[in-house]
Amino acid sequence: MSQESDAKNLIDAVRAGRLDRREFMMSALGLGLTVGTMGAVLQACSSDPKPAEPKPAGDPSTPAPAPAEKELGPIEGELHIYLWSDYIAEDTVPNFEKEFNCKVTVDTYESNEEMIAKVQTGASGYDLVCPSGYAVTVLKHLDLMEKLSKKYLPNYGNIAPIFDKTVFDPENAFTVPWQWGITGIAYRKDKLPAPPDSWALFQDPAHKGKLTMMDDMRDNIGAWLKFRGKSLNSVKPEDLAAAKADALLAKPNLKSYISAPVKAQLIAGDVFAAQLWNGDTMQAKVENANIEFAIPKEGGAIWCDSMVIPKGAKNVRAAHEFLNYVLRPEVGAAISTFTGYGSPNAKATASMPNAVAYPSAEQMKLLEYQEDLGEGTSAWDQLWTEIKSG
Amino acid sequence: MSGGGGSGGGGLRLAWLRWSARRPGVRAWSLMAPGTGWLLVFFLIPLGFMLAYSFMKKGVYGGVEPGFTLEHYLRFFDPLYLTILLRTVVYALGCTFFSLVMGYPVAYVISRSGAWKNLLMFLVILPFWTSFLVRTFAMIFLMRDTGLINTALIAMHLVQEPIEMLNTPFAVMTGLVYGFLPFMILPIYSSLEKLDPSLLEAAEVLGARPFARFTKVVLPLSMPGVVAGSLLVFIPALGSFLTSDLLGGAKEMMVGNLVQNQFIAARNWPFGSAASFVVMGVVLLAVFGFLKSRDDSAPGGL
Amino acid sequence: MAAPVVEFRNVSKTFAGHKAVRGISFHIDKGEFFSILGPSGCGKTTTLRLLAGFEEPDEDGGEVRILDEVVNHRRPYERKLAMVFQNYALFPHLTVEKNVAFGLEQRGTPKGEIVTRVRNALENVRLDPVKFGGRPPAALSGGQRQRVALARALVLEPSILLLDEPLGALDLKLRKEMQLELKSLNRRLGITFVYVTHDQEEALTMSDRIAVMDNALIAQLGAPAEIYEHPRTAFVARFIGESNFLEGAYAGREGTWALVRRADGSLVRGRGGDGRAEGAAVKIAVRPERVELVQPDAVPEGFDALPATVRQVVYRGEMLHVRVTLREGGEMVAAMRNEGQIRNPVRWQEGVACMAVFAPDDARVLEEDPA
Repeated sequence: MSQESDAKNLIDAVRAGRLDRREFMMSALGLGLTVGTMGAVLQACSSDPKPAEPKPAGDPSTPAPAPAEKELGPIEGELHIYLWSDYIAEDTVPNFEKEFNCKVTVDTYESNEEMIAKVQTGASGYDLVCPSGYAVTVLKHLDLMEKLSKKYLPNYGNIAPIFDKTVFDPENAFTVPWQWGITGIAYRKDKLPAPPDSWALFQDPAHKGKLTMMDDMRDNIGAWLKFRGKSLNSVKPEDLAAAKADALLAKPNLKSYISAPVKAQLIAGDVFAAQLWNGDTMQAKVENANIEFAIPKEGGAIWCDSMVIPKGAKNVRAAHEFLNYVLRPEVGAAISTFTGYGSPNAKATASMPNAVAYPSAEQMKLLEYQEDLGEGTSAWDQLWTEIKSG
Repeated sequence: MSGGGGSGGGGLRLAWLRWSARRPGVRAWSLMAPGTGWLLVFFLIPLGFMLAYSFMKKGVYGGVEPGFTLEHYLRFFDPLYLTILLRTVVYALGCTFFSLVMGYPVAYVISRSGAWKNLLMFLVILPFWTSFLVRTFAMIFLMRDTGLINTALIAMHLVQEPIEMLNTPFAVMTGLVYGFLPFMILPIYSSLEKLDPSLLEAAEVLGARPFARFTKVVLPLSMPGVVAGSLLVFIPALGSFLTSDLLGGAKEMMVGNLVQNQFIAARNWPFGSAASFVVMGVVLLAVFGFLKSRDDSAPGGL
Repeated sequence: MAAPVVEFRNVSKTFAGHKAVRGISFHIDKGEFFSILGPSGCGKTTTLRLLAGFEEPDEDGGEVRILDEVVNHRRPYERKLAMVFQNYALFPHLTVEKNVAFGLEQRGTPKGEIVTRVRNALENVRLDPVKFGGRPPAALSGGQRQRVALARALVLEPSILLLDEPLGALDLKLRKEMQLELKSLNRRLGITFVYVTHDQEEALTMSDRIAVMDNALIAQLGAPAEIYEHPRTAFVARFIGESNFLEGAYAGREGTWALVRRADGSLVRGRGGDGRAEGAAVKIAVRPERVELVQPDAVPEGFDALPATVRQVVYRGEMLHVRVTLREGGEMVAAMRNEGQIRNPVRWQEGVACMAVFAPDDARVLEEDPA
């Protein structure tokens, strides 16, 4: 086995977005690379710009930013989208290509950080990327987004009010909401005596070994902050200390820290209740009708991924046309039907028979968007390490 | 050659051959150039960056800020991180030990199995045809409560309740050993294969019973394979985190997880770099330790 | 006379249908230097391995006896023998001292005694224990390794020492030296040596007796001179030394000699041929140094003479090999001392007519090679 050529393939795969960091590490591990080497290669990936994408045939110059909305040229012949995997309906792109005579490429990624790293190089070649809420904040801090020209987005009005002017884009200057979801509790109604209504479920030894929580510090610690009525974006030491105590109380009951892959265990019945996103829960429910989703009374996280145009995009008009296209009710409905998540498009949601309902105003009070923690990230990471090592 | 330049290319080639023929070292070097260049560009240079990063201040959104600090290395000596390192080393040593204990007999038997050798070695390498990730997932399906093993045990009425295997240190160790065992078998096999059978006959004529033949002749002479195999298992086991995540339920953090988190979730590149270098230090210590122990046991100054 | 040290009684060994040794019998006496000689694949190595105990005879494949005990199923270390291997088989991870001490340690010899015996053994093979004792085998020359291998075997004071082509890897000069040394060790220590080689000269030089093996059988067993002077078969005649072969039909006896009729009707005499049927096709072997060339009119009394023509003269320094074409077909080579013109006034040159003559006692009527 040639470690070098495999390592090269790996790097290419990371660059092409076929692998996320975790998968890369897994593969690197398979090659027998050390942690140190892995770090080195990771950095090589981050700091090496992706080879430039083919240049668009259309207007090469990006108009200088102006306080007013920009005038855009005619639609370009191509469009490059960088998106989470399995996050778009199969016919969305082909229909767009046909209607607008525009060639579209879609590359995929598995984590916000991977996407940010690529956009950060300034030569990603992408015209649209899809950050989560807190990642929008990061991109804003790094000044990596183009402002939208709303006059090319006549369908913007289809967006439901609760996803209009979100905390991470209060001016609607940069984002077009794509899909939204809630982090709550997925459970087997045939295994639990009653539907869970509190994060306290995970501290109850009655179901020891049959419970899981997510292997992600934001979701995990966030749940325990909500449990004590705190903001899931808190960086206050006392809030975090309390969250750590709660998390450690739950740890002995947990079978594992696991995120989306827990679906299989829910379906099989190895796990009775899991902290999970609503969309993934619905996907699991297709396999086993006993699976249900609950939002704990203390609240949970709501999130919304949005499309933004990264700085340096070459096909800005085509990007706008695409955004306007997906804001059509039937296109948005098709995407959400495929992903199992909610559509922020009110008209689309209304047109879907099994749409994920928008949270009520009452529920919305309990839900909170994850925001970037900034300098607080370090404290959270240390806390998470302590919980995992506890 | 760089292309079909006809006589021009041929002339160039001839000139190169003539020139290099007078410099015997040059051709050897030119053969090494691709490999060396690869290592230089994709290993040493990034490693240099990492080393530099590990002494710089962290950027809020990833990356580094200029400045010089030892804080990241000092931070690693917090009991929190030392515990993680220690746990990882214990797992890696355990994995090395079990791989050795299980892999040596396998390598020994294969090296003595004549015409079957190649087929058996092929079978040892076969798991590499599937990615480590897929193989680890396969182990989940084996070991989980409703998995193959428990289902079978319950069906045979050997147990009433499923045995909890997944998400235990046992599962992690099993997964590590499973993943790295071939790395132990391969070098031991190759050193046993090279073992001159007449040495065993000589030992037998000299009065050595089977056990003595093994301890006095086979084992010492296969030590290079044992050392190579141990390092090949220990080093990646030290960097492993996938196994503890998937089979251990992510309830115990390994150094690999820590480094990964620093580069991604925590956006603390300098600390991640520093942690990597500490791990590399442990690896180097292990390598030198192994080599030293070999030097001490070798006869005379060879 | 005491029982032989080694005895093979009709021993056979078959490997996967291939008969490596086909019912051979022989014995070796105490203190004898016994060589097993033959080309590769003749069965000599299998014979040695049967004796060493690395192989067991086939079921009902006869008996291997050592010191009057059947040892067919005994392990090598239960046979009171030691062995020197073809490639020395020194333990590369042990020093010279440790190599020599290995057997003693396995036998649980007391530490102090080991030290003394190892030193004596090394001195016995003329290796300085102080200078070489601490070195690994890799730091020794081929000859030195050979001596260590010998010391490692002799230190156990075995009844029998097996040597499997031990000199094959040495250069000619060193080989000659070691040949003499082995012979003197054999005499001095009184140990029975069983020596396997494919080198006929080596076997002739050192051995008390030689078993020549061919095709899984012993073709001839005897003292070197006997084998050289009286080869029983064409194989032995060819394998040991050089021979001229004459073909003809057995034509009865004349006194102690056998008569052989050549194609042209002439008769040639030779020893042996007992029990051959009248008219049977036979071969006669004559050593080149026993063939003389004389002028056609100067055939001495009592010699057989074959008319011939000189075809080629090969100059070999102290010897001349003159190749002649026989008139009735075939060739002979006559080896003669290069004695200069005064003592040997005839200058044999290509095309000169001559008579090739030899004494009937120097011609041997061969037995047929076994199938």
